Amino acid sequence: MLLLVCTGIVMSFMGCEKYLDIKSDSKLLIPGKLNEIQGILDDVGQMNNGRTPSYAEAVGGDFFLPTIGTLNQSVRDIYVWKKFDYQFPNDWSNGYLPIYNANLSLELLDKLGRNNKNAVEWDNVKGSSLFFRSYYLYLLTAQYGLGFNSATSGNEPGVVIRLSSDFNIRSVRSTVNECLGQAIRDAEEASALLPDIPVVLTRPSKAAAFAQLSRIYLYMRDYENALIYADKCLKIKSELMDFNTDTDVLGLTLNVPFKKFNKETVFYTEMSTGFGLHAPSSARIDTALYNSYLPNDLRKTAYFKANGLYQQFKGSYSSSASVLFSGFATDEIYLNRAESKAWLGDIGGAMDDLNFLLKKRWRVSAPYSPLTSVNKIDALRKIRTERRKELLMRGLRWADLKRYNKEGEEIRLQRVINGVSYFLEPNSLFYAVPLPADIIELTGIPQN
Amino acid sequence: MGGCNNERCLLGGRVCSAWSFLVLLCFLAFFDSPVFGQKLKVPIKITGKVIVPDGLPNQVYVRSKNYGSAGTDSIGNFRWVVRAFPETLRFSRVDLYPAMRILRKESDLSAPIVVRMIQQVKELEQVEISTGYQKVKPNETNGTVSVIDAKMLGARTGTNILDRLLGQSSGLLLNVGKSNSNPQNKTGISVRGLGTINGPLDPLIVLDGFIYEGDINNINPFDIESVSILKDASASSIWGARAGNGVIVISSKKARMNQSLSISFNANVTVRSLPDLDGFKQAATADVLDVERFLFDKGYFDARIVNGYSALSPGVELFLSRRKGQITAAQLEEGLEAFRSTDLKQEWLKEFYSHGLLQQYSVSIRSGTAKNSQSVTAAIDRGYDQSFAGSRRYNLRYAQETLINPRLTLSTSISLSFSSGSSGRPAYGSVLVGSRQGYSLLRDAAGNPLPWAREFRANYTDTAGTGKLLDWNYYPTEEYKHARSSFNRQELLGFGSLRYKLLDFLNLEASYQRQKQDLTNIQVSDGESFASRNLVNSFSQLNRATGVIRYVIPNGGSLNTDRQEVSSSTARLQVNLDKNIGVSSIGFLAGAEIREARLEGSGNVLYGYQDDPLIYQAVDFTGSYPNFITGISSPIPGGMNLVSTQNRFISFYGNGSYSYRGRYRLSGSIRRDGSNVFGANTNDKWKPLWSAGLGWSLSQEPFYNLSWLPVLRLTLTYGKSGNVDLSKTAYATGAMGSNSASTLPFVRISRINNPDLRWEQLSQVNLKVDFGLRGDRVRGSIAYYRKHGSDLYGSYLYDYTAWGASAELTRNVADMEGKGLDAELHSKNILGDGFNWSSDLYFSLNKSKTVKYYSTNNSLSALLGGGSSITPVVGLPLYSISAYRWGGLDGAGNPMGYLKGNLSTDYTAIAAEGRLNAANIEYIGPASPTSFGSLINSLSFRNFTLSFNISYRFGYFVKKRSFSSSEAIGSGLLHPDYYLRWQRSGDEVVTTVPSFVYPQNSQRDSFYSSAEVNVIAGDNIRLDYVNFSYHLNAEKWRIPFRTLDVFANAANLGLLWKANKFGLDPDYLDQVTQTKGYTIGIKGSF
Repeated sequence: MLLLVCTGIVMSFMGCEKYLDIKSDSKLLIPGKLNEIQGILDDVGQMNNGRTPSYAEAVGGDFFLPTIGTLNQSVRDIYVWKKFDYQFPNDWSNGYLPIYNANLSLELLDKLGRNNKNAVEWDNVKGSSLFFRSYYLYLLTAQYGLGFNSATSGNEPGVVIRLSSDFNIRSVRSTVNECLGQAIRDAEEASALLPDIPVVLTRPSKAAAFAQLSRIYLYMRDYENALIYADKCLKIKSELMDFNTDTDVLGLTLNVPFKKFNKETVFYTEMSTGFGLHAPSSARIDTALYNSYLPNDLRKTAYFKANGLYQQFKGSYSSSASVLFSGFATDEIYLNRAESKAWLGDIGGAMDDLNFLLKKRWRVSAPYSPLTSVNKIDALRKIRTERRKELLMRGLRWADLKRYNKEGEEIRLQRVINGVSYFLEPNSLFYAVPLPADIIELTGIPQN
Repeated sequence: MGGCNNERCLLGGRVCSAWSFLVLLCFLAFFDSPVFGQKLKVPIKITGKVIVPDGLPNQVYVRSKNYGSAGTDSIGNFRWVVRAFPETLRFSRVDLYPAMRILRKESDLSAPIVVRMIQQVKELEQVEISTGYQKVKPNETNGTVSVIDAKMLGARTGTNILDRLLGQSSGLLLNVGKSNSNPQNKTGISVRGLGTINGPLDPLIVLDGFIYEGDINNINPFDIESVSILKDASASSIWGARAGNGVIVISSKKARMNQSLSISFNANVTVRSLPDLDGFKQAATADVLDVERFLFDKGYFDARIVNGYSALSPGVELFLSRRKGQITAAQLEEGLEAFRSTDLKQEWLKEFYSHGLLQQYSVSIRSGTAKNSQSVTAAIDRGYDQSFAGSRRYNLRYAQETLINPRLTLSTSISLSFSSGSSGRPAYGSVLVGSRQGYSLLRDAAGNPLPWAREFRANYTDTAGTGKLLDWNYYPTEEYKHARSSFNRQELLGFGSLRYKLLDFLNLEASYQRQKQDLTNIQVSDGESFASRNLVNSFSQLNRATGVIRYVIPNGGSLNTDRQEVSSSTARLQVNLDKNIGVSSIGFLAGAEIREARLEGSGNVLYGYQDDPLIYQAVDFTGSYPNFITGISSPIPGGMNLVSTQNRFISFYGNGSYSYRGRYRLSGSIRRDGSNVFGANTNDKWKPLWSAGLGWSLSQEPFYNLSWLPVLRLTLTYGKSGNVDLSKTAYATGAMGSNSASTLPFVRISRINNPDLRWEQLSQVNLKVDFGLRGDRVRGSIAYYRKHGSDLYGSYLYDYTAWGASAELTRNVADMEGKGLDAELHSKNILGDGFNWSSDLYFSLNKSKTVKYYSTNNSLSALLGGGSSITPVVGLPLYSISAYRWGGLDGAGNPMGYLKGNLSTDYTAIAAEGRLNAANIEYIGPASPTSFGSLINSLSFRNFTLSFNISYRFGYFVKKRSFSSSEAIGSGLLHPDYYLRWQRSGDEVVTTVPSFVYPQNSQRDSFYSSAEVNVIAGDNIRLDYVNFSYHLNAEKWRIPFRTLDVFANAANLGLLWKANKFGLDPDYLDQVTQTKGYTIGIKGSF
């Protein structure tokens, strides 16, 4: 009898390794299936929202802080382009998290293998991973590296290129050239794999990959390629919102004038809150910039609202007055194309692109007189002025400033605290903003 | 079985071999049979003498296994007839250690037998140590165990059983003021210091033999017979991987067989003193207003003022009115005077605090026949605390044991616990106005509730909605009546066990326990609460053209429900062997256990809720809606959540001891645990643990002749255990979620792929001396232990370029060492006629330090935080404190530190140097007591007993708070050190508090708060409790009771001595200190 009982129990416990195989938390998983890898890239909270670098926007010069005299010392230091120590969390960690997710996805994808059945999804996952890696690598390079100069960028430090999820690999700073080269290769490879239009705009697409390439080449002042890819992007997606009538415009006077995922959005990301300086609730738009919008320019109503004596920005495509949209939208691509055309001598084509955009921003009841230009310098000046007015608070100005200064525009930024002026010289090394202090301490990579 | 891969087969094999072993044991049990002796043809008569310690009666009981029994005469002589060889004679009496003589051959009988017996320490004999798997006498184990009996548990009052252990044993420390993000640190209690850095910190709680997964507050302390604290590895290793922090074994009261019906009861009432609100450090309102006026003049509030809606503190509202010319200077002064002249603390005490009241009643009935015993216990606790937060608990427990036949015993028990609680009134200092410390009046002169502008300015909310919005004011005296949180907790615990006595010395036991606890947390805000009105208003969409208002969140209350179900079941099969073979005795147990603990949780929020008539309304949780004031779109808070976790364990264990002549005892235990560690390799799911011990009763040796020290025993134990954090894995693991913006399910990586993770290794060596003086006047024990932990998990500052989601990763980065001493001394100082005085001294030393740590943040600068969390720095205690070297104040009232050896006020550079090489940082000392203990004195005169407990904590430091300009500016928190601040040249000689500076410089403030001047010694002595009781003589008073005691108790009586000169209670800094509790009660039985 006892023998039977014992035997029975022994038999029943034979399966105990199975008993221990159950998951300890039902929500947990070890991603490995294709839909799970896609899930990593669909994590909007880590891949798109609150992600893109903000230090550049904080020091970029489109806004000022009227209350700066009452703020904490460290905020005042950032405001006047003084180096200061900052630590985790920051733009660096925010940017390298999606890069890890992209690298992990690529590794998991390799184990899975591509076949006829899964080809479409597999390609989308691979293309998306490469795109995300490219997207954040470029943004970090544009913030932490000096502006591109074909003569010197082969020696000047950019950021860290990470191509593996293994955290044991030491970080080293690659050159600006290498960083931009990697971002271009990844985006090119991605463009061949991604669908023209994504399921949702938080996912990358072929249009987004072309927009990315156009943006990088523009930063490198390779206007021929910037034009080619702007063109390719606009071939897939060219819609603009007419601020007068568009259904994606909720109401120009509203706090939130535009719908999220509106028809101009090519790829959706949001800027991180960073040091908080550029938060629309505290930042006031540069008075001269605000005054440069003509009364019948609908952007003046849509983008701004009075807050005290000054104007506050509310023109984000994020359907929130406090969250800044920083992804790709067709307006940027039109402006990329216009500027490239102008640079390459196609003044007429350039002004056509510019006027096509501006007309959509003009009050329909008032006559729109198209901008014209006779020479390249004038055309570039007009396009660049409108570029600033159209794309403010999207994290683009810093890269543009570097580019313009590399072309000799000598833009000198100024800020005032308690009557004392501070300047950022056009060739300042501060254009490569300081890296986080803890990263320098942990890795020994050189500080800017 | 062709598809079986190697790993699985291996594992299966391992599992099977353990089971085969058990089966084999069962067979052995059958085949083992008594040795038959050689019968003598002619019985031999012999005589002998038993010598007992001085002063004790000489009669001792003598018996043989097969040939009857006898007794000694009044001087200790006895006679015996030997009928067979071998003959084993046993000598026993309750107060003596048993002795034994084996007679094998005739020559053994040539001389008279002389047996020297040793007195057993009486209390020790009564004590039974429960390890959860077995019950043993103190002299039958090599382990170091403290037992706290029912009487000692009764010395403290209160509803929580763990609170009653404090100060009643050595080695047990309540960690005060320690924050640890570790979720497994719920009890705040540590046994013998720390054994891990990042692993679980709670001791394992065992109730009646099974790991207890419920809430400790479910346990009725009056129903507890004893609590055993298993401290060393030898005692605790039987509990396996989770026993690294010690084990607290709680045993319920049980009825005995052959017990006549007995009913016992307890009733007591506790009231507490009113809290001392000065513990909340805030300067007088007059000075807060002065600071606000200064800030107002500097334009600090302009940013808030300009947007028109942000709430302003009442002082700022007045200054603003004056600036706009709406009031005169005299009206301003009058307005300010109203705030200045109000004693807010007094108002608050009157409105929101009480003495609290706790009533506790408990009754238990026990009875037993020859074949059955049963007990029923019922208890009710009810009351409210000083802030009127209510609590209730009902306990009911039934236990029985039945002898089905002489070999088979069935034990069952079932207990029910029902607890509930509700929130009270707002704590002093908890209500902010415009994110600043509030100081408005609570009621007007007529007693009507006054509104506080918590979030938005009254003149904005009054007009913005053009009368369409709900009242947007917050009324501190009303809110708690309309927004309440409460909980309900029910637990059902069932237990059953069948014990089959295979042979006299061998039994087989199968037992099963099932536990289920349901917890519901409810937050209700009715439509009149600010919480609801604020939410409804914020989401209201007002069409200003038509004046039509649309409620995105319906006008009404909200109901937020969170349910959690914790259940566990454990099945156990165990073989117990207890056999004397000649002069040796063998004790052995082996068993297997399978356990599952599950947690299922869900939560949801309902809006438009109303309880009578019951209704709620559906809302859209997916869309985003613009905020009425800020225009920022956000979804409606809430929605649903679901949680489901299940942890499974399979364990095989064995424990054996061999004792020779009662002098030497060799013991060992082994255990192998398997668990469903997620994402781990199969090999990492299993972990073997073992321990070994050696005991030597020196006083039992024939050569031992120290008659003044009749008990002397040495034990040495060593054990190895491990620890695995169930959340750490080798693969990148993630969790599923869904996002309303993308509408796609996503996977979020929560743990990075970390293939190098291993189990933590912990070892402990323990050396203990037990001793007892003649007549049991003094007895005690001293135990010395060393702990060593290697491969400990530690947070490792890594290059977050690799991941970015966290600044730290967990790796096996640290080794730690702990050592200490636990001592207990129990003495009977005066044993007089009618007057007795006894003392119990508990004394503990504990030192722990990190001996290895592979991390770059391995520097003193990591310890500037004040020692509230475990921070490993090589060579220093796990909880330690460091501070910036202090250079005094400069001529402008700025605090000075050191930079490259020179005085400096460049706080950024000071902080950078501190992080770089810590040259300007001093190590101060441990931040957790290294020496602690308590002294209990009991004095009894006739039927009166007075006992009091004085406890002490020495050898540690704490960081006190001081004045901070940033806090004063940013949150209106004005620490009273403000009065001591530097104000004019020369003050630097007399004060260390820096001047008030504006605009704020948070680096200056953080330097000062972490400077040497703000670290104080924590050493203190406090009077824990005083207990006074009177024992009624039932016969004299002719009352129908067997026993009846009335008692009074006063607890938390405060500090008797402290090392710091600032009048601060180092264990309760900056908080409303523990209040005194006064209890009166009655207990008895009939």
